[in-house]
Amino acid sequence: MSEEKQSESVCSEYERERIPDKQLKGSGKFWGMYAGEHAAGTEFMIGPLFLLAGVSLQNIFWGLLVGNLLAVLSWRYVCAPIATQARLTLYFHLEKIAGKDLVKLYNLANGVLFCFLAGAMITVSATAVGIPFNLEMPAFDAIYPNSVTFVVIVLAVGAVISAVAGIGYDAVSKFANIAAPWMVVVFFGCGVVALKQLEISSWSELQAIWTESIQFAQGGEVRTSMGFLEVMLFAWFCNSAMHIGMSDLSVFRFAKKASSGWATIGGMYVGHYMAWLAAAFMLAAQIKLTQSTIPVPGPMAYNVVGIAGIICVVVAGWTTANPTIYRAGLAFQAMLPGTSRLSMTLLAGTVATIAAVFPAFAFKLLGFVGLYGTILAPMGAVIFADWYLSKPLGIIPNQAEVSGKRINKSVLFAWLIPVALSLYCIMVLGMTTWYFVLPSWIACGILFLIFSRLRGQQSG
Amino acid sequence: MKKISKLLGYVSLWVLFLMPFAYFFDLVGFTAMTGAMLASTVVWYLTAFFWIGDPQVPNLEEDPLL
Repeated sequence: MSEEKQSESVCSEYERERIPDKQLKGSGKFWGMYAGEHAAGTEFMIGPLFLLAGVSLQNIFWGLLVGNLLAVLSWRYVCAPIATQARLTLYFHLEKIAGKDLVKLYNLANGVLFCFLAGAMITVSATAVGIPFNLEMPAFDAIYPNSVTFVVIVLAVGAVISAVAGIGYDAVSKFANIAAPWMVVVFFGCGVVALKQLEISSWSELQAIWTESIQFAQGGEVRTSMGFLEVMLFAWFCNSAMHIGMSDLSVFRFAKKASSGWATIGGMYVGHYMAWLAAAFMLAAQIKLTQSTIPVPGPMAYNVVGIAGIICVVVAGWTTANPTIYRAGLAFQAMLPGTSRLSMTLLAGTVATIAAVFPAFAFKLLGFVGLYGTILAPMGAVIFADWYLSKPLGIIPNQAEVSGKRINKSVLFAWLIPVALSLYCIMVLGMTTWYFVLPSWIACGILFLIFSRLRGQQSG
Repeated sequence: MKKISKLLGYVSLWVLFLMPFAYFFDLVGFTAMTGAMLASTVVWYLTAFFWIGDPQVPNLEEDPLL
């Protein structure tokens, strides 16, 4: 058995136990992993959407700087300390507190949201694949597909990605590992070339052309739906499911020290700063050169770095969609015992591909990412509250494990109440999604402690 | 073989990194830049398979949640 295989099997062996010291990894492993993971297909969409939302250049620079710092601090001081002490996956840690069936329900919500995220990435890849076929790209406000060719290309891309996720995940994982450093460099190159195409030589010229681009995209006006606060909140919470939502417990349980949480700087400032800015400049350059305001990544990347850009968009979309579909398949399989992983992965791929046919999912990515955090991140507050506050408040930690219950109602209602209220404000009142992530997280933690006390789940 | 692949891989990444700057400062034209970037991409993928290992963390097989 090779050393790597041996390591893998040992890791699997400790899925439901603390990781032994010999399996722990230094922070170096995490720097590369985060930098690669956060320079992905979504970055090609998010940057341009800032321009179309009319965000000023100062607000992008400062909002992303502060928001990404807050995200790094959340990983470092909220997620990593618990991960390196408990050394459990989120799945198993949550199961101890919330119960087996509630974790399955949470996982299902995760899987469904994953399908739509993967759908957006299939759309991203399809815009690049469509270039040789002279595919007419859907308009920014389009909800439905604009041509049969678009539908056929999306279905073909979705079928290939789903099939590969179903039968060959390991190969894709290795390929994504290889592609990561290359993608980061291509993203950077896209930004440099876009700046050249904008023909700017000073900060004031960049500001002027940025404002002109917004004005052109908005039909002569400059309206903004995002100021500094909104950009900062978006940068902070776009991965909230992973940091304050504790999903990355599964990653940092391998870390020797909680200080490995600083490695997320690589992901935030390479992927969520440099890559978003580069992608935003790509749209500004496209507007200048072709007067097209449609933020489809394929043509934008082709305009700046040629065929390498098309390959980058396809690879970025593919390597993001693939694990997402795979994980959604695992979530569905957990809900339907007895089904095969292949059939559930193909089901997740089918849902994602159908979603990809509707370009609105990709074009509304900013709002979707906030929704995703609002629904999933609050569960992290349950883990946080249980870990730090249960004992001081006289509540039994790991209640489900102690009582043997399959659903801990204190967790269920603590999660559902703030999420339902937030969804009402977002869906019915039309409020912005990323305002609700932190309030939902705090409310969920407090309600969990209150319900646990009221339901008599005290120690002693 | 591994050493040569690694060397070629790093060289291709550096070319990929430098060509946009060369274009920015008018040292090369657009076609030359895009051509060099495509060639670097091909070299990277041909060589990286020989020296970049499997991802070590996380292992999805062991964690069915995001």
